[in-house]
Amino acid sequence: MLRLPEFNYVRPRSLREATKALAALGPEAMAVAGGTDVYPKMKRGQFTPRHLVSLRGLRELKGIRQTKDGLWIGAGESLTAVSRHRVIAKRLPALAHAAGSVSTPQLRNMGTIGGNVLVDTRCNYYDQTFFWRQAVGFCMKKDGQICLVAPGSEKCLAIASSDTAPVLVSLGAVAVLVNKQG
Amino acid sequence: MTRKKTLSVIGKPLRKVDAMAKCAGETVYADDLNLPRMIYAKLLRSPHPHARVLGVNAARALTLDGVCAVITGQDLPEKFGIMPSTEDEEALAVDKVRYAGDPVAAVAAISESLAEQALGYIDVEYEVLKPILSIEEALASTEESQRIHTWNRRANVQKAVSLEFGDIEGGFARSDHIFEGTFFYQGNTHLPMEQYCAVGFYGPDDKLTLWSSTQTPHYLHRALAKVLKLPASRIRVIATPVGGGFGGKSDPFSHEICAAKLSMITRRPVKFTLSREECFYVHRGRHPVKMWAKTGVKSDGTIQAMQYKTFLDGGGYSSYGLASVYYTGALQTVTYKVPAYKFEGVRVFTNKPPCGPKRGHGTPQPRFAEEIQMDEIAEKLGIDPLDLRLKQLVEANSVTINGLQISSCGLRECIEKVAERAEWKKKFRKLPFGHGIGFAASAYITGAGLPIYRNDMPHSGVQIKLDRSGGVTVFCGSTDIGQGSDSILVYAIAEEFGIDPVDIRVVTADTDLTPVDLGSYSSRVTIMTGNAAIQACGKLKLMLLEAASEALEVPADDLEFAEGQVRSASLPQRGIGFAECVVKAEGKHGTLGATGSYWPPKNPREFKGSGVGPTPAYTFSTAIVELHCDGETGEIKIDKVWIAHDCGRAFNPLLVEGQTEGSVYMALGEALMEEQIFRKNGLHKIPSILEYKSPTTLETPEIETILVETIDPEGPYGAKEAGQGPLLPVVPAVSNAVYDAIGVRIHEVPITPDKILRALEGRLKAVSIPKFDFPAPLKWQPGQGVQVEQKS
Ligand SMILES: Cc1cc2nc3c(=O)[nH]c(=O)nc-3n(C[C@H](O)[C@H](O)[C@H](O)COP(=O)(O)OP(=O)(O)OC[C@H]3O[C@@H](n4cnc5c(N)ncnc54)[C@H](O)[C@@H]3O)c2cc1C
Ligand code: SF4
Repeated sequence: MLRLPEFNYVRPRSLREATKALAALGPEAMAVAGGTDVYPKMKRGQFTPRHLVSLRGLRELKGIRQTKDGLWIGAGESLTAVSRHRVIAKRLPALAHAAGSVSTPQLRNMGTIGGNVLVDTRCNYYDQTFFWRQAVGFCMKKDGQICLVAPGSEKCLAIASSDTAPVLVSLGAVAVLVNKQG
Repeated sequence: MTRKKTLSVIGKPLRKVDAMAKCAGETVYADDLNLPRMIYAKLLRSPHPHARVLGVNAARALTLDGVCAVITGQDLPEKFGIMPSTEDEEALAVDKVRYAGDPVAAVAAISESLAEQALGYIDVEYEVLKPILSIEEALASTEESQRIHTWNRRANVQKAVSLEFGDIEGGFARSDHIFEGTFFYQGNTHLPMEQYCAVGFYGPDDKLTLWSSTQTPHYLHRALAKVLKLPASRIRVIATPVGGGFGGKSDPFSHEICAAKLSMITRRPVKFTLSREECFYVHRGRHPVKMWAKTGVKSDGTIQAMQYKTFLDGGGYSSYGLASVYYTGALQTVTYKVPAYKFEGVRVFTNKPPCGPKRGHGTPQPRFAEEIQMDEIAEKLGIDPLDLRLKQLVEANSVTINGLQISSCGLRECIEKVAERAEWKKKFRKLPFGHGIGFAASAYITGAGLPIYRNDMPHSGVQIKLDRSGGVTVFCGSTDIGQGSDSILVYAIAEEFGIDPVDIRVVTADTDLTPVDLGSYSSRVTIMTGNAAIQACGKLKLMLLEAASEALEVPADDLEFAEGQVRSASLPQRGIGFAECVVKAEGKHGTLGATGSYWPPKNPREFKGSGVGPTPAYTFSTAIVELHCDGETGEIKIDKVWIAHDCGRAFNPLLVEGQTEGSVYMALGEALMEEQIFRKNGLHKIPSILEYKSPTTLETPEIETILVETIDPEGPYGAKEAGQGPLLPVVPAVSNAVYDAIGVRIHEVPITPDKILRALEGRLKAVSIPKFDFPAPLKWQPGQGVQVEQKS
C-alpha cells in the first residue's frame, strides 16, 4: 500500500491562527482542507510538506449566505453542500452542476470548494507514483528539469482540472484572500 | 441404503458459508494479520525494462535506524516457476531484469514507510539493454546477443507448437468457401479488489509459516521448499481468504518468497502488502494474442477444416506460458463438428510484466476469432448465425477430432434458450442503424486433466471427521477465492449426511492441516473436491448405517440420511438423530474419520502437449448482446446481455448466477475498455485504477442468466463449472453486435470508439500477422490412442 509520509499536523482554532501558522512555518507548510488532493499527492511524493495546517473546522470558512452584492460561499464548504444548496441551485445552476459533477459522492463530501479552486494542475507525466516518475524521468513540475510533454518548453504545460473554477470565472466571482495581517 | 430422490441442499439458493463474515467486515484477509513483533517489507523494482544488474549495494540502507534486513538476488539464487520445465524466475534479479517492475532487492523495516524510504538507499548499477516490446520485435531478435533468456532453444521464443488432426488439406480442398481472417486480442489484467499480500514467519521451532493471498498454496509450498532450500515438511502455507484472484494469484511470487526469507534472517514475522501499482507489474494476466484463422465450409455452411495460428506476447517470464500457448489451440473443436484441424502457436518473451492465466486462460482469444468468423460465414452464405451453428453442434458422448471426450453437452439448449429470451429472430438484422444484436457460443473445461507437475497422486483430497456432538469437520486443501469453494464442500456433505449445513465446519487451504488440493484454477474445484468429499462421506456412511441398523433394527438398505436423522425410508418415524448415530458408530468402530480422493479420468491422448485440453467434463455457454453504437462518436452502450450456461448441475444456483454475471461483467471490460499497455520505453502506461478503465456498476448492463442443467455423469451431483466458461462468448458477441448495429467488423479488442470511427471511415487496418517458421506438425488421430507420426 502507498503510505502517507510523516508530517506535523497543525490544527488552528481560527482563521487568524491558521494564517499565522502558515506564515510562521514558511514554504515547508501547506494548507489542507478536505485533503482529497493533498493526501494522495503526498503518498505519491508530488507534495512533500513537513507541516500541514488544517482548515477543517474553521468557522470563518463555513456558510453560504446571500449578501447585497450576491452570494458569499465559504471556501470550507463541501462540494456536496455547494451542489445541493437551494439558492445556488436556483440562481447559479451551472455552479451547482459543476460542483455536483466532481468525482464521487464520497469525494464531494470530503472535498471543499476552496480546495477545488486551488486543486493542483494535472498531467499524465506528473500524476503518477514516485517510482513511475523516476522510471520515466522526472519533469520540471517536480524533481526534474525538462517538460516531458513538450521537451522544448520553458514552462510546465499541465492543465487546470478544477470543475468549479471555470464556472466561477464565468460568473465573475471574486476570491477573498487573507494573510496573517488579515 | 436407499438413494434419496429429492435433494435438500444441492440446488438450493443458500447463502455462502463465509458471506456474513465478509459482509460484516470480519473476514481476516492477509493484510488484516498482525502478529507480535511484526515488521514490514518492500521490494525495490527495476525502472528499466531490460538491463543487466552489475551490482546491488545495500550498505547505505542498512545504516538506517529501524531497517532490519536487506536481501538481493545473491541471497535467493535458486530459480523457480509454476511449470517445472520452464522454471525461469528469480525471487530477486540475480544478473538481469526483464521488465520495468522486476524486483531486485527487498527491505524489511520496523514500519512500512521506513521500508519504502530505505529503497531509496539501495544502490543498483544497471547496464541498460535495448528492450523488446512487441511480438514482431521478439521474433525478429534472433541474435544470441538479443536474448531475454538464455535457457530457451530459439532466441526469444519460449515455446512453439504445431499440431495437426485429421486430413487438413483434404478438408480445405473439399470446401466450397474458405474464410480467412486476422485478429488481435489485447492483454488485460485481473484487477482483483484485494492487492497481493503475504506474511512470513520463521518460528523458534525452526518451522516456516507463510500466509498469503494465493490460489495455489500447494504449488507455493513446493516453490518455497525449492528456493529456500528447506525441507517441505518444515514449511506451512496458509492461503488466507482471497479477495479475488481470477488467475492472478496462481503463481509463486517474489514477495511470498522474500517474506519467508526475510523472516528467516530476522526471526520476526514479515509482511508485504503490494500497492495497486505493483499489482499491474506482478500481472500474469491475459496474453495479448495475434491470430490468423482459416475455416473451410461447404456451401451449406458445414465446416470441413479449420486452421489457426496464434502469437502470444508472453512478457518477461514463462509463468504458465507453456499451458497458455496450447490453450490458444485446444478448445476450438469443442463446439462445432470439425473434421480436420490444425493449430500452430508460439509464445514469445518481451520486456513486459509476465502474462499468465486469467479467467478462461488462453481460450477467450481464439474463441473471439472463431465466433466472429462463424458470424462472417453465416453472413456470406445468407444463413442465420444460430442456424449455421445448430446444424453442426458437437454431441454428448462424442470425441472431437483432437481427441477430446465430451460427456454431457447442453449447447443446443443454450442456443435455443438464449435466442428465445432475447427474441433473436425478431431482432437480428432488423434493428435500425446504430442498434444491434450479436451472438456467440463457447466451450470450457471443468478442471485440467493433468496436474502441473507429473505425479500419480489424486488431484484433490478431502478428510472428514465426525464429532460426538454431531458436528462434522471437513479438511481440504482447496482455496476459496470468492467463488464459493468452501461452501461447495459444505453443501455436498450436508446433502450426503442429510444434515443442516450449519453443523459443518470447513478447514481449508492449510498445508499443515488439510490434504492436498491442487488449487483454485482451471475451474477444477467443484468437480474435484465435490467428488472427493462424496467419496469420504460414503466411507463414513457405511459405518453410520451399520450402527443405525443395529440400533433401529432396520436393514441398512432401508435406511436414509434425511432431515438430521438416519431413518427408515419406508417407516420414516423409525429413526435416530444424526448425533446419536455418530455416538453409536463411534462406540462400535472407534474414532470416526475418513478420506476421499479424486483423480480425473485418464487422458486418452498420448502426445507431447496432450495434457492441455482434456478435462472430466466440458461446459457450454452462449451469449446474445444487444447494444447501441453511436456512428458519430463511436461510443458503445450495452443494452442487455442474455447468457445461457450449461453448468451440469447448479450446486447452488445463486453462486452459479453470481459467477456467470461476474464473467459477463469481466468480458465486457475486455471487450470495450481494458488494456494493459506500455510506453515506448517499456514502462506500464496506466498502472492505476484511475487510468486503467474497467467497468463499474454504472457501465454494467442488465444481465439475464439462463442456467442449463445437463447432470454430467462425472460431476458431483452432475455439476460442472461456472467460474470461467461464461466469459468466453460475450466478447465476440459484442463484436458481432457492433457489426449488426453499424455494419463494420472489428477484429480487435478492446473495441474502443476510435476503432469504431476508423472502421466507419475505412481506416481500420487489418491486424498484421508476423512471419514465423513453425515446427513441423505433430500429426495425431483420435481413436487409436497413439501418435500417428511425429516429425521432430
Ligand atoms: C479520485 C479523485 C477524483 C477527482 N476528481 C475530480 C474531478 O472530477 N473534478 C475536480 O475538479 N477535481 C477532482 N479531484 C481533485 C480534488 O479532490 C477536488 O478538486 C477537491 O475539491 C479538492 O478539495 P479539498 O478540500 O479536498 O482540497 P485539499 O486537497 O485539501 O487542497 C487542495 C489545494 O487547495 C489548497 N487549499 C484548500 N483549501 C484552501 C483555502 N481555503 N485557502 C487556501 N488554499 C486552500 C490546499 O493547500 C491544496 O493546495 C479528484 C481527486 C481524486 C482523488
Ligand atoms: S512539466 Fe511538462 S511533463 Fe511535467 S507536469 Fe508539466 S506539462 Fe507535464
